[in-house]
Amino acid sequence: NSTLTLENTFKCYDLETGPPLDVELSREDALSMYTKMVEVRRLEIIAAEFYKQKKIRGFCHLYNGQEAVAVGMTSVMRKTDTVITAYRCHAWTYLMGVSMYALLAELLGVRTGCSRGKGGSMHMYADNYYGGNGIVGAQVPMGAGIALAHRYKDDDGVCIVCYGDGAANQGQIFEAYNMAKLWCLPCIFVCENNEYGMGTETSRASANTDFYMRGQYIPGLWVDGNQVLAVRSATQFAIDFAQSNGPIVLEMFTYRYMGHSMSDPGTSYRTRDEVQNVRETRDPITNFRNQVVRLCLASEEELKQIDDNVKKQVGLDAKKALQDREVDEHELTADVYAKNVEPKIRGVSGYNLEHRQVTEVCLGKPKPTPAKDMKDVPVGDAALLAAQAGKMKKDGKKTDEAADGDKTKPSDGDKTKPADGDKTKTPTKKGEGEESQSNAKVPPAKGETKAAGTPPVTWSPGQSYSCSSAIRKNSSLTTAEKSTRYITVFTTQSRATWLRRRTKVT
Amino acid sequence: KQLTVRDALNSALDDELARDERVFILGEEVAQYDGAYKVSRGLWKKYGDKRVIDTPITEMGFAGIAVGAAMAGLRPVCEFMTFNFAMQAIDHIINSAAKTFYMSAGAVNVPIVFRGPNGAASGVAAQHSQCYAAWYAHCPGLKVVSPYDSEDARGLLKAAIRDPDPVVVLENELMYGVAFPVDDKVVDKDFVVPIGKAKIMRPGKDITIVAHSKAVETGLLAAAELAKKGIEAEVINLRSIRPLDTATIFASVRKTHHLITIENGWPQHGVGAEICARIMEDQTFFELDAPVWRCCGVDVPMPYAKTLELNALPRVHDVTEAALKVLGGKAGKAVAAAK
Repeated sequence: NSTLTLENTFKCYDLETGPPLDVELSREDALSMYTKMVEVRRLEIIAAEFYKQKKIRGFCHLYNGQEAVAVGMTSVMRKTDTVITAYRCHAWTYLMGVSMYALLAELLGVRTGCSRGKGGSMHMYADNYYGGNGIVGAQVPMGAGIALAHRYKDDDGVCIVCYGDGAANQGQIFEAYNMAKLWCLPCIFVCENNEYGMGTETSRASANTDFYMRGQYIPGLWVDGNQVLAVRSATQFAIDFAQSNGPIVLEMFTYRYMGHSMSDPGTSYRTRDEVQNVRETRDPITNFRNQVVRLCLASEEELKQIDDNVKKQVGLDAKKALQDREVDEHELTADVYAKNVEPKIRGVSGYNLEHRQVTEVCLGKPKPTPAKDMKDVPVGDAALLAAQAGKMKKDGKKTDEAADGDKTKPSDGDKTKPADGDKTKTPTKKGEGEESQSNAKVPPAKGETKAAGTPPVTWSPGQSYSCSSAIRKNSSLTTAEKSTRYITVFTTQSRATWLRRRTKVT
Repeated sequence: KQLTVRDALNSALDDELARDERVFILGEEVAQYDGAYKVSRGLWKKYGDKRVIDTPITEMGFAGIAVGAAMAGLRPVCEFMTFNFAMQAIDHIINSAAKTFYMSAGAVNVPIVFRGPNGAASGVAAQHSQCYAAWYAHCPGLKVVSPYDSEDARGLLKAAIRDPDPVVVLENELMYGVAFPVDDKVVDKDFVVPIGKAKIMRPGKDITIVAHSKAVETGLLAAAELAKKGIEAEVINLRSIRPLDTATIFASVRKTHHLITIENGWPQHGVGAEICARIMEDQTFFELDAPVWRCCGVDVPMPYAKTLELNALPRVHDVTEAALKVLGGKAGKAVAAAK
């Protein structure tokens, strides 16, 4: 173990003592933190590449330059502590336990992604990690709520709530400060000040840029967020403080090298020189590397070896994720509700989809799609290509599929089917517990119809749709045929004709 | 046995606080003040500061805190003094609560109840008189219930608290003090009303009237008026706005072939509009002998003065007139038969 003294790293607000300036660093910790920072940097470099190749869609906010904050803080977190952060969340997600592979897969929107392609860059979760959040500032009161849960359950944990210097001006942050202080919640508010809220420099957005003082009645601590050891020391201090004294605000002064998101080159509101200067003088990885070598905790060669290994490993994960298939289309309607009570979900044109429960309930690590639920047919772009390749073939196949789908649809006319027929089906067929529930819901409708003294209604198309009594007759057509003709009626039959014919009968 | 809606809600909260240690109530004035509308009366004294929490008047903040606590495994009941103020917190209801289960691919559920009075009260003007049923029912991931009587209120609130998903419970201030007769089963501590099921309040064969919350009362009164004319109206109390129990509505329409909807909210994109659309898209459309008709709040912000306010909401005679119009010649025959 080596001991070293931190310099110019803390400023206290309303605190009697700050974190200790003399810190110990073991070789093990040094290598672990160094590796993690390099991994996170590598992850973001790959994410940027993927984004430029249009493999990652939508928003993509990168963490380059801020690595010391997430790595330093997670290095002293205990098992009971929790984190919630904003949309710049790749590093936090990885450090809170999601594998590099599942994370990259999520960015790529493939089925092996940690949110199975339904969350994307900003919405990833893990044990004790309540996600990135795409709404600026919304995670702050939520974090205070998680802290309330810690206090409620008396589990000794604290919640680390991260937000940026831009979000620091949101009204709900002050609402959260207020309640956190009132109720003495074990909550560490962490303002990651990277100097720009999108393209607005802190001094242009905040009347007071001392973010660590903006809790007013909450003690604060300014930390050099580019020194991982300072971050670690401050976090240790803050965890101890929050457990016994309630909330504390940490301002992690850091810098982001990239633009706000991948669509921002990050050059119109600051100079290239400024970015270059920070890279040269304040880079968290370079500085820590030099520190480690100076303290003789590891040699240059060893660190170089780590760099190479990380590059190789992350590259392999990325390659593996790239080969994965996109999320199956049927997952579109999976897991909207933990307990679904609606038999059908409306598709684009009609109630033709069904809710699926893919995960078990709940609270914990995101679960992968069970293998039995994965269809081995192409989806997304791959499906388009496949469609183009064998158009003739596909036509025939599609009709079959449509018919299949319709057979499982509960229908009033489909009287031969038992109420909970799906329960008896093999597990490979669609239909989990949720589906049998949904089917169970439909039959009462039949019962009600009967009770009302009207015969079960089956709408039948063709000649007979012109009058209501005929409509009420049963039809021998299959559901698939009905549904196709049903649309035809709406497009070809004018309302006037229909009304005239109906009037005759009634 | 008579039970007011207020006591029904209060006893539901009491039962669930006793049943599950994770359940707690937070909101403005819920504890020491006994609730702005006295719904949480006596609960703070019984359960203490930990379980019944007074918040500052900061809806966005405490709604966010409630959602966070729910994500971390508690079961908060977040009371809004009225749903008009919940607009300040609607981001947390929709973005934070409703979407998380889906976005996390089922990893994080949000078992939370947002409750409070909704819809027009009396003489409180536009900012305090609005129905949010259509607003919340629009959003997948939320469940929305709107109780009418004491049985509904007690059963639906208990079901909502036990539900693993976010549930919006839209109560009605004007109903809080109304007493309804209830069976013994309703006061049983395990009584729940299933979310997603409507209730037929009055069977009939000539026309279906669908309503929710206080409008059910209007519907029942209108049905009584129509009965005098020999018209038997079937009144459906929706209970749940999302999921919408279309099976019950459709079955009724297949029997009566006529439908009107009543709601105290605005017409455009409202609950009635949704019911019309659902019928149009279903084979039940062909069962109709006349167009579906909506009776809604007038399409203006709620005025203050008594007469104006009265005219801004659907009244019994609005509904009976609509029913007669929809029934057309059949109404005449029924009247004749009755005579």
